[in-house]
Amino acid sequence: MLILLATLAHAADVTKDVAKDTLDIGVLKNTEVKVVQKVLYRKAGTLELGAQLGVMPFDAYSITPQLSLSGVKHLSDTVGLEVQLGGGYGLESGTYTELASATYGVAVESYRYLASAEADVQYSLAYAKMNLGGKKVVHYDVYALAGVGASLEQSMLPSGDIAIAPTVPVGIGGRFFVSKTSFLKLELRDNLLIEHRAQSDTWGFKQNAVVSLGVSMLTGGDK
Amino acid sequence: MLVWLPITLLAGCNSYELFRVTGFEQATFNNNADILFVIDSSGSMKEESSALALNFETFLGQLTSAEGSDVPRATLGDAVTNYVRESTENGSIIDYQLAITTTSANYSSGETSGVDEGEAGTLTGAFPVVKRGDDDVATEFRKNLICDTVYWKDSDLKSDPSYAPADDGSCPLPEGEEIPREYLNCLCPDGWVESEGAGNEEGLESALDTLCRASADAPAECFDDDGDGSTDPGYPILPIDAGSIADFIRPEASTLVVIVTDEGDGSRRVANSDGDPTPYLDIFSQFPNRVRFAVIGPSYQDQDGSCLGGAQTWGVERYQIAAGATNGTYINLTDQSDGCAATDWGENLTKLGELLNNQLTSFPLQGVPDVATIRVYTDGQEIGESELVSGIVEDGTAVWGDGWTYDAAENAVSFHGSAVPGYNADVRIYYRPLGGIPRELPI
Repeated sequence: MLILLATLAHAADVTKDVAKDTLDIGVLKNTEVKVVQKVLYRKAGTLELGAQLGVMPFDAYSITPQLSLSGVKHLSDTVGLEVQLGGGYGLESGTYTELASATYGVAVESYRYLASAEADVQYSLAYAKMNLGGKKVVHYDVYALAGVGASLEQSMLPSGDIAIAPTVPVGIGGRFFVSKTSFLKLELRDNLLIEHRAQSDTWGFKQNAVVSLGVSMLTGGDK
Repeated sequence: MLVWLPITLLAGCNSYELFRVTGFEQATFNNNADILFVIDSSGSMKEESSALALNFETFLGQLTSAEGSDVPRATLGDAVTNYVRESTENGSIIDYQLAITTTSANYSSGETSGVDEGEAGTLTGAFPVVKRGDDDVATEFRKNLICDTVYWKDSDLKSDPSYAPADDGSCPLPEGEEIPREYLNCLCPDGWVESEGAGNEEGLESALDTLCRASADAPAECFDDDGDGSTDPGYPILPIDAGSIADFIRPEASTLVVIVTDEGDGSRRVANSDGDPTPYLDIFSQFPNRVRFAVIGPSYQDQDGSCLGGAQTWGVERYQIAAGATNGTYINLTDQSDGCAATDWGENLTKLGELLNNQLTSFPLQGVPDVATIRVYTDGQEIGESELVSGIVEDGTAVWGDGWTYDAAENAVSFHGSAVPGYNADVRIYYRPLGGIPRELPI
């Protein structure tokens, strides 16, 4: 009983203090309201190391699983420099196989992805959090990237001609923080490349668009 | 979603060159050969025709298996048998048909003023198409040749009283290089040709007329179609003659025209003194079947006409060009280096057999390729392009090293030497067609 009375007395004191500190600012208009989000998960000064599994699903003649390893030096919370190494193998799609059948007798001089090395700049466009079903709040940032690199590709014709293609990656992605030092990374990266195709002796433009999902860790820095 | 849409559309723009892939397995490659002999039936050809008849087994020997039977392909056992045959006797899997016509495209001469047997592309013999698997191919062909094609001048026939038929009634080949009257009497109980063929030998026209009569899909140039019911000088046959020769030209079979003559070509659709047979080659190329020429004719090499006899150089050039342009062969009747002595007919017919065996080494393409893009694979292994070792391509004397060559006249890839695919080998030829590929594709 004593504890209950003491608690009620304390509550009454707090209410009186709050009322005394209240500042009347009048009526706020919508245009005066600013969104303030505290950046809970910081990246500035950290080194991000990650691995991603991806797939290139958009080419008509091949479908390519890809594994990539990446390192990003975050110069600030918004800007990072990335180096990414990737490897994979373009598999013949159903369309390719059907064309090569006796029905059509057509072989496509498409090139399959084998490997790539790229460097890019990443810029975080937004930092936000979202409510997952009212049970969990997830912090994430959204970034865009652009860079340069090279891709190693191989003709899917029996000649197996190899091409090393200058590549310009552009993309957009999101980091979904799991903890202060780790996050899931979802990315759509479009690798724009131009390659010489030996059998037809032509130059061809190609896009290797990759959808990838990976995990990354942050090391160093003041988190 | 808005992000995905442009990316998807852009990725769909990946464009590539499309190549034709021509694939063959030797087991399914067509080994049918329809062989048309075009025989010069003028009086001067008695010796050559005799030599052809007497040495014909040499030719057949290369195309016929020991059993002389047909080539079954229905079962696995057949495939094994064919493999063994091919391994041991390459030509034995050629499924051939033989027929004879004459160089007399002009039918107004001869026995009657109408179209006699062997004239204007008609075939000679009571059973004009001799097929592999017939009881006695050599004798059947010999009858058609000796009894119904060659002109035998009675006063020139020698007599050999010692010649006698065999006990079973068959007619053994006579000794020596000349055919005696007694052999003719035995082989041709109903008589033989006693009137000379047309004086103007038209080997190309006659071959064309036969194909026009025999092909189910003959080009319009075959026929005189002005509707007046009679043939004009330029065209010896009418549309009504289409299909008048049955069961000789088979679908997808290779057609080999063998012209045996001691004269040049005097065919009507090319002006005299013009040695270019292109007008004929253009018409032959319109037939669905592949047509090649092998000519056993007057010797004319290196502008040396000393062994031409009475033949015109331009007429011989037509044959030589036709043989070279169709990946065929030209065989000299006489040897320039040996004082114009007659060449060995056994060897000549061996060359003919080799030409037919090569049918299994040449692969026609579906489209005209950009030659620089051709790549050839046998059982997954890339085959290199062949180099010319000796000879001249245009006159059919080229000798190639191991590998492949592209033959523009045939629009085919030919294999040479050790690169010739084995039986049942998987042959793939990739090339970019000059005309592109129709886009009715599932893409």
